[in-house]
Amino acid sequence: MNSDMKAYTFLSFMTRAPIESRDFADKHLSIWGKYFPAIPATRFLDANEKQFLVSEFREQFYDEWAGVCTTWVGEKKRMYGSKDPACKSLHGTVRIYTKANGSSQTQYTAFMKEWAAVSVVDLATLVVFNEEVPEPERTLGAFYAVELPYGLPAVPWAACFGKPYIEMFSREKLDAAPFAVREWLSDDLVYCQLTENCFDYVNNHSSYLERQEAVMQILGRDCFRDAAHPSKRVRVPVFPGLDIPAPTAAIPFPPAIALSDSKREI
Amino acid sequence: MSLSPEVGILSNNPDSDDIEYWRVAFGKMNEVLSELGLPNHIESETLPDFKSRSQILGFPYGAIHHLRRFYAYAKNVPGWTPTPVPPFDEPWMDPVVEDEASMLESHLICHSDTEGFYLPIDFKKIVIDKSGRNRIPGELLGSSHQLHRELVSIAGPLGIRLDGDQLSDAEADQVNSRCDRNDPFATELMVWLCLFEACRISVELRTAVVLC
Repeated sequence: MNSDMKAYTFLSFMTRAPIESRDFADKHLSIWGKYFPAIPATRFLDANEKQFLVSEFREQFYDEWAGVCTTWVGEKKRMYGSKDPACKSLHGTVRIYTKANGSSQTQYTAFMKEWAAVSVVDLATLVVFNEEVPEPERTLGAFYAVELPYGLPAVPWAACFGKPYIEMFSREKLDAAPFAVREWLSDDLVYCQLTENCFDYVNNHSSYLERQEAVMQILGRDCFRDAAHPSKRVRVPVFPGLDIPAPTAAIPFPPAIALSDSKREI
Repeated sequence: MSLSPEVGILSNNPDSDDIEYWRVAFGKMNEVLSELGLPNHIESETLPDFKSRSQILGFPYGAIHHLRRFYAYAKNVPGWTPTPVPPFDEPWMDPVVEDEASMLESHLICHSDTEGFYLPIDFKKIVIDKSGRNRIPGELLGSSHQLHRELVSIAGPLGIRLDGDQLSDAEADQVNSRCDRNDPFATELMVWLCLFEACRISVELRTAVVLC
């Protein structure tokens, strides 16, 4: 990558666990800080979008974390994070966005695995994109809980699949699919990585898409949304304990906007 | 999201990609400065410890326009009694602000409200890259010395007591507490203190203010 080419890493974690607790807040910042000491999540935003230091306003941070939507940022905005709590019909979501760094792939994946296990995710996704990406990858970049009932848009570069997805795909198919890396983190959590390098979507686009399609064919094409046939029914897992209403209609992918615009929503 | 004036952009161990990105950005700005006969800015990668005394380190994008309006009125309307932005008014559309902006003099007003730099070089005229090569992020390059002076000029009308152009720790605490109360100028004070502290550190340590 040359210095003018910006790429971004997007991580999304969807869980039914009560991530709004202080315990989860502390664990999250601690695990992030362990893998990314140079871009610690030092600041949080209040409801009026004012930035404060977490270290100096810890109680206020916990209050915000317990609320409906929390946003935090690293110094000099080297990273962004946001958290939406779970409710009776929706997963809780943690999303993280940062400028991608090729030398940090090991940290990205290690962080993803550890936080996915700690927060007991049903699904975690990790993708690296440059400025403009088409669907379905763009939806994966900002994937969050409200998308789940409509089915997965595609297989992300890396994913942690929790029990509902393992049951939907089946262990056999997850083992058979041509992932570059597959690691069973527990009986109920598997880490799957599409290709060797997280920049492959940017640098080896066609082979990335070929591998992605091959994996989706094995896992079951009916488990993934079809951009060409948006009304086609998509298989989704059962999420115990959540009362997720069935979608009244399949949703098309959102209208095309630049990723550089959508990143501000994070 | 919100806007934060950052200093020491190359300090605190940014990764190598980040350093290269910012070096390129500073290099392009220095080209423009050289063409105008101005000194270059070398951003240091190691700085002594510094700390902003502003409790609020970033603010909503729209907040800066409240302070810009305050500055424009304080400078251009003789005898103006400070009043906050009326509810539902858009301060950036205020004709007093627009008139001041059209003069291209104020480093506070004539600057991007989402990105860009204030360099610790004391130039009076706002720097614009007229070559069409987009070498200045945000298009308008400001001076942290000049911005500091403009902030000092409105401290009095905002009810901030300075000792010359210095802000004492006690007064900084006072401004912080006014931001936290139902002060009619809480928004202006929040932006003022954030920018003032960024400029203070910028001038003292010769580091750029970067709007992120």
